[in-house]
This record gives sequence, structure tokens and C-alpha cells, in this order.
Amino acid sequence: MALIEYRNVTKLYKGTNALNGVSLDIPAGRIVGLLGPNGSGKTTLIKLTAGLLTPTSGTITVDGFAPGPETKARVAYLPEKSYMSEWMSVDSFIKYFSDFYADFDRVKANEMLSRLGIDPKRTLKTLSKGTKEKVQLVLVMSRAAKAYFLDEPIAGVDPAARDYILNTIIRNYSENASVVISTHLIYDIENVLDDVVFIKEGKIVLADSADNVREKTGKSVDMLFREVFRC
Amino acid sequence: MLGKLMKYDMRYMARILPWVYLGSIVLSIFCSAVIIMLPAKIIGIVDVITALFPALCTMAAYAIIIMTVVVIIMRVYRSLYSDEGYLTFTLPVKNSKIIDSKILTGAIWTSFSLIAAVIVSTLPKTAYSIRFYQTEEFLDPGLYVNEVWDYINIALILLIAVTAAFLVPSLYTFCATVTHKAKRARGFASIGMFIGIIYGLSVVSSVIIVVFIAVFAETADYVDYGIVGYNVLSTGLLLIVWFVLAVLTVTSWLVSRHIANKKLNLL
Repeated sequence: MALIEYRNVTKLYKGTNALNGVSLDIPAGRIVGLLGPNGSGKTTLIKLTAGLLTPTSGTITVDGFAPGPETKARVAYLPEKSYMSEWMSVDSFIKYFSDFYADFDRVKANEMLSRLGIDPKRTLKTLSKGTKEKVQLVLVMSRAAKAYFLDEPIAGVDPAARDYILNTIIRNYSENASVVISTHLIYDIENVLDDVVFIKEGKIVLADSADNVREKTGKSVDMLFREVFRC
Repeated sequence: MLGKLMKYDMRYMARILPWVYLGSIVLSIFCSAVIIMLPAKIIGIVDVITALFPALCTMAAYAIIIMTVVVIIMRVYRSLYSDEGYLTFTLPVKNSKIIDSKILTGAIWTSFSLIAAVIVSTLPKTAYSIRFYQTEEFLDPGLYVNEVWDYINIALILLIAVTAAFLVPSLYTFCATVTHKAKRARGFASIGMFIGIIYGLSVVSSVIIVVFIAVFAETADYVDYGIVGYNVLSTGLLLIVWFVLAVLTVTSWLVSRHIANKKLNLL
């Protein structure tokens, strides 16, 4: 049984199919790139898995559970937006995550913050946008979750921060867990991906290992992406 | 988990509200002290101050309640339906527990605000009475409670206050959840809906009271000691008011929980 299973998942918004009959299996221990242009359904698929949306039809299971408190305890979600209250300090967020997530590792979070030179006593309001995103990433990756869903983790950050984020993902990856990264910046992320899923207009157009894709097409994933999603 | 959710909700509101209450109580104590200690020979000023200061403290009491409602609205809306909702609704708890936490903490702070408002508004009035009347006469309980109806009415008033404390956060949470579900311009729509319902409630309550009095007035005897001096007429009215508030509170709470559990679509 795959770690995450999607069976005929459809999500309708006011007559538009954000997702249309998506069926996909994500096994444990893989780094999966969920790739597609803006508006293709990547974020919708992630939000459905995180339990923020309910599907119009179809089923999603994470480690055998339908989205709910059990899956939220197993899924670590990094949204595209900043979700942290500006008035709270970094340390307060560490306590917050410790309170609610049994798999949160405070020591690891503090170590990562220390390596980044971020003072935990500082409030979010005093941090730059890039630093806030790093703090969010630290909080998410300090959990020993079964699945990590990172929605556009490298968009809008500088190249040095991008490298840091990708290194953090690889360093903290475990063979019992899966990491799903949604992005349209393929070139930066291609080398870390085990599997790729192309999503276009709410439908899966390709789901294969990155190596297979390169072997079969003779092209990099980035080049294939540009071909498939050419305007 | 409910306790943990409430801890953070309480903490959010504790950033602002205790200072508002404390500041208002200090103002009220100051006003009361001035009223009592002002020398009688400064005739014109005494009249102005003894009229103005109680009014000022009454306004401060209203401000306490309004400020509390505003902070509750901000907490509910921000933590559920702004970007912070991405954190709140991915916590490993049932969504209904998140709603319960908002309502329970809102009720606790609304209760605190009612207590603070009563203290702030009555202190200068007490000071005024102490200055201009005999203290023993003012503090005589017999002035306020004479019959068993009075005790019943006092208990009903307290019950209404407690129910109203739950109604404010329940009603706003309901408005926010419904307008969010309907994907309207959420912030203003939810506040508009909340204010509209409160206004509608006030109008309906007034109509009920007027009709009730008109229908039963001839059969009732009145004792003119303010709100607690009436008999079965006032008890009946208070019961109706409490019942309406209780039904609204429970309905809005349950509907909010249901929507959050079943139909959440956070965008």
C-alpha cells in the first residue's frame, strides 16, 4: 500500500474543475516533484491532502487514514503563504509546535535556527520575508512526519536561501517518509527529485521516476516540462 | 487539545484586554476619589464634575465591552479565515474543537469585560451617593430586594449576562463561518452580518417587551425600584429574553461546528 493514495479526486470551484479525476500513488521514502504551471492544480491537491479543502468527489488516504486529525498528525505542510502571527516570537512558535505535534523535535529546531543565525527571542515582525520563510521551513522540517508537503518552498527567495532549503530537505529526509515539493522552478530542484508528477489543468499528464523520464525522453525534466507546458 | 487551543487564544487576547480593563478601573477609581474629596465650597466645579465623571466612566464601561468584542472578532477572523488559518486548520485536532476554543475563550473574556464594566460604571455612582446621601441608607439591601421575585430576577439577570457572554463569540464565529463558506468579501461581510443580527435582536427584543407589557400590564402590580423591583411581569420578560439568547447561542455554536467539521474549504 502506498503512503498516500488519491483515487479519482475531483475538486470543483464554481463550475471550474481545479482537479479532474486525479488518481496517484505516492510511496514512502520518495522525494516527489509536483510540477505544473500556475493554476494547474498543484496547490489544490496539496491542500486537499493537508485537510484544508474537502474534495468534491473521490478519496484521499494518508497512511490508511482519510484527511482529518490523524492525517494532520502525520503530514507536515509548508504553505506558499506565511501563516505565522507577527506578534509571536520564534521561540513561541517552537513551543506552539511542541504543544500540538508529538513528532516535533525542539532540539533539532533550535539547532537549525542557530545554524541560520536566527535569534529565537525575536518576534516575527522584526524578521525579513526570507528569514520568516526559513523559520517556517525549520518548523516544518523539525517534525518527524510521514509526509512533507512543501508548496513552492523556493519561489520568491534568493539563490543562497534556495540552496539552503534544498539542502535542508535532503538532510532531513527519511526513508520512511515522503517529501512532495510543488514548484514551477524545475531547474533548481530537478537533481533532488526521485519522482516527478506533471499536472496540467487539473489532470495528471505524467507520473514516473525522474530517471525513467530522462532515459525515455533523452531530455532533462526541466526541458520536458517546457515542452509539455509550452504556451 | 482543547485546553492547549484555549491557552493560545487566551494569550492572544491577554495582550490587549487586561490593560484596557485596568486603565478603565484606574480611571473610575480616580473619578470616584475626586467626587468624594472635592471641597464643597467650589460650587460650580463640583456640579460639573459630579455630573461629568460618572458619565465619563459609563462611556469607559461601554468602551470596555466594545473593545472586547473587537478583539474577539479579530482573533476569530484572523486565526480561522486569514493566512493564519493555514496553521490553525492543519493542527491535529478536530475543526469543531478549534471553534469551541474560540467561543469558550470569547465567553470568558466577555464575562471579564462585563464585570469590569459594572465596576467601572458603578464606582463613581457609588461615590456620588456616598457624598450626597447617608451611607447606611444607600447600602441597605432592603432598598433593592424585598420579595422572592427580586431574587429570581437577579438570578435571571446573571444568567442572561452569562448567556450573552457566550452569544457574542458564538454569533460572530457563525457569521464568519457562513460568510467564509459563501466566499463573500469575508471580513466586512462577517462583521456586517454580526452587527445586523445584533441590531435585529435589539429591535425584536424591544418589540417583545412592549407587546408583553401591553398584554399583561393591567394584571401586574409594579414596585418602582428599578429593574429588580417588579414581579411576575419582569420575571416573564427576563425568561423570554434569556430563552431567545440561549437558542441563538446554541444554534450558532452548533452550526459553526458543523460547517467547520464537514464543509471546510479554506482558500
